[in-house]
Amino acid sequence: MIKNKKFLYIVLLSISLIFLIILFLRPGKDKNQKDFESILTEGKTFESRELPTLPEDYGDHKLMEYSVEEIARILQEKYGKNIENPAAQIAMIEELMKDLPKLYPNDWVKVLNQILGYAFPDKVLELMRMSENLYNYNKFRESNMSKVGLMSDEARRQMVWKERYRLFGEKADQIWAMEKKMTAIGDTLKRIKESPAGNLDAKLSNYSQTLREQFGKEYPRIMENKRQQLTEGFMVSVQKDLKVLSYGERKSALREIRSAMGMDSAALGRWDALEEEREKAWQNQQKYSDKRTQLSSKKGGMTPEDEKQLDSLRKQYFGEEAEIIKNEEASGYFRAQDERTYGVN
Amino acid sequence: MNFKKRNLVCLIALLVVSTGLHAGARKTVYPVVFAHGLSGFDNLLGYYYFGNDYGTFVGDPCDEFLETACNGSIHSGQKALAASVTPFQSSEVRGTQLADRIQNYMTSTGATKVNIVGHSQGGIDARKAAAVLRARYGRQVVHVMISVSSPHRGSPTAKYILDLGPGVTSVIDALAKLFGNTIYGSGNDGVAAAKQLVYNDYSSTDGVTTGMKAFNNNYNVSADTANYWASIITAQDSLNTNPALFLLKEGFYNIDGDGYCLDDCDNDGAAGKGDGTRGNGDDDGLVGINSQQMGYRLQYNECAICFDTITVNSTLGYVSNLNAPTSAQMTSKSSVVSQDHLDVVGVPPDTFDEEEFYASILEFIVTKGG
Repeated sequence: MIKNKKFLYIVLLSISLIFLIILFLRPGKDKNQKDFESILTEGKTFESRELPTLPEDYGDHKLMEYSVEEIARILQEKYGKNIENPAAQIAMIEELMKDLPKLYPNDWVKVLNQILGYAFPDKVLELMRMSENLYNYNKFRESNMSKVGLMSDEARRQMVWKERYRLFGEKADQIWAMEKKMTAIGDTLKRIKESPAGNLDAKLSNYSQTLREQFGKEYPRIMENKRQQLTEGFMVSVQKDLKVLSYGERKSALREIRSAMGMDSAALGRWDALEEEREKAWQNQQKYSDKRTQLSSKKGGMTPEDEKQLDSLRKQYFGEEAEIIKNEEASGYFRAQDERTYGVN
Repeated sequence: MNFKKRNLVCLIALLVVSTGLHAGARKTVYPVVFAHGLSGFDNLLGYYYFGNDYGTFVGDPCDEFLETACNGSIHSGQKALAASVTPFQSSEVRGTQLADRIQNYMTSTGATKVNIVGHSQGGIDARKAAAVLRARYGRQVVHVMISVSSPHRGSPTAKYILDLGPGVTSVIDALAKLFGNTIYGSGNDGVAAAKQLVYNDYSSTDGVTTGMKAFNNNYNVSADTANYWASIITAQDSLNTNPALFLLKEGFYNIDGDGYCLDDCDNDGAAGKGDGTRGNGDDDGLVGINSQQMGYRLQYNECAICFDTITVNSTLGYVSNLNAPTSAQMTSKSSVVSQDHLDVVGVPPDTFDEEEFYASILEFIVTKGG
């Protein structure tokens, strides 16, 4: 009985001790988090006030060059029309968060509150809540960095989105809109890559449709900036289809893909020339590789004469790139062993 | 803001106006290619490599004033490419791939030249790419070449990992912990990547010659391959270094990277040696300062109340032979950016403004005709 009681006390004491240790070792809130909380608890609102006139050349200077009131006025101009959009709110808060801690290391959260209050008095609490969430999200990213890096894409996505929704609710979809678009495009490419060979036209049409759906009215501008990247992504995904085609069929298929991705006739002409050049280069790689194998597989290894012959073969097949090919071979890299990715290399 | 500070701000504002500077970078003459380091081009530890956490690439210009998923500090007409190569491979392989990607971009856009900004191994790949492009086009194709945090003379961390130093049980796992799980994808060769980043030939018995010394001899700074060569150097005290750089975090290994000697006299994997003091801001967690200068050393002038700028540190001179920098070029902490290896590509935690940092690099490129 006594023994049992003793044992019970030891167990209870141990549990209490563990609880206390956990309590003390738990990561506490830092000063900034406490500042956010106290501001939000206080729930201080701001009244509309007359702000200074907008400096004419404010767009030519950095935000932090101005007084708190002037910054507030500039924010109204820059973000006012879009202030309902969570992505615009985040962009604005980030702009402030980049420099405020450097200028006001001890009370930047309060200065942030002041600026937001002057700029958008009727939204100050919403914006401060958004700021607090962004701060906490950044802390989450920091503390989970190595863990997140070692996860699969799918697991990483799940974990990160779970935290985003926890902090920002449905607004997360708008804040990370561009990431969502690029992920959707990536998923389409993955599906195309995993599908059986054949029906290249349908795949191209599916991909083009995805791009238009995702980018909406921004489609022309984004294509202008990312055309090559998005075209190459598709090329990589349809290698199965391209590999089974004859050279002539493949050349016209590649041309069709590039045309569908919006390349003009001058670009298509340049590509035709490059494709021919690359076809020849791959054939030369193979011819050279066969001859190199013959020379290097001789009994007793290569003689100085063989090395000379190899030099002249490289010159013959690769012209100006001969010396580079020689460097590559010395390091153990042989281009002929590379996998050919049609339309890319 | 107090009266004195306000006056100072006004004075700076006046100076900024009088020198004709403006918000953000001007458009470069030639497109800018961003070359990534180890790991995937859009995924370093789960983050966009040259970008932010919202899916925005630092080279994405804003067309509209109210746009948010873009870099507002660059010109709205800026042309840029985030090139993608195999995440873990030697620079002989990755440099050839980078040349292919640049050639593709030039063919699609009609660009006649490009500028390259390479981070970490990307700055090494870029040298090979420039040589390949020179051979293919029969002329110089790269105008301005800038490396950021690149281990041109090797990284002791690479050798430590290959040697399976304390805390490392597997080369591949160690690289995965440092850079993310893309190493497990097909086509990657973590050992080749690590051997590339050791100064000397790592193994005399494997029948091949690897390492930065040989690579530098083959692809050195040259007016044939690029018009202007420069580098940005990063280093930070260990305490501030990114937790992802676990070798430091766990206290296994700390680079001593600010001493001078010819070649790798202390056999730590990088040219030069230590000065006997570790943790004194002589490395960025992966690369020592004695490994990073290529061409001119650039100074990044970060400023909370004015626009960030890049200038040339003219006192340290020009590294024209990557295997033979001067003592000052290997040991001076002048113009070293106080950030760790991963801060400059958007991996948190940092208070570093990547968008403006790269915008200031673009503006600098403009000043060099690029």
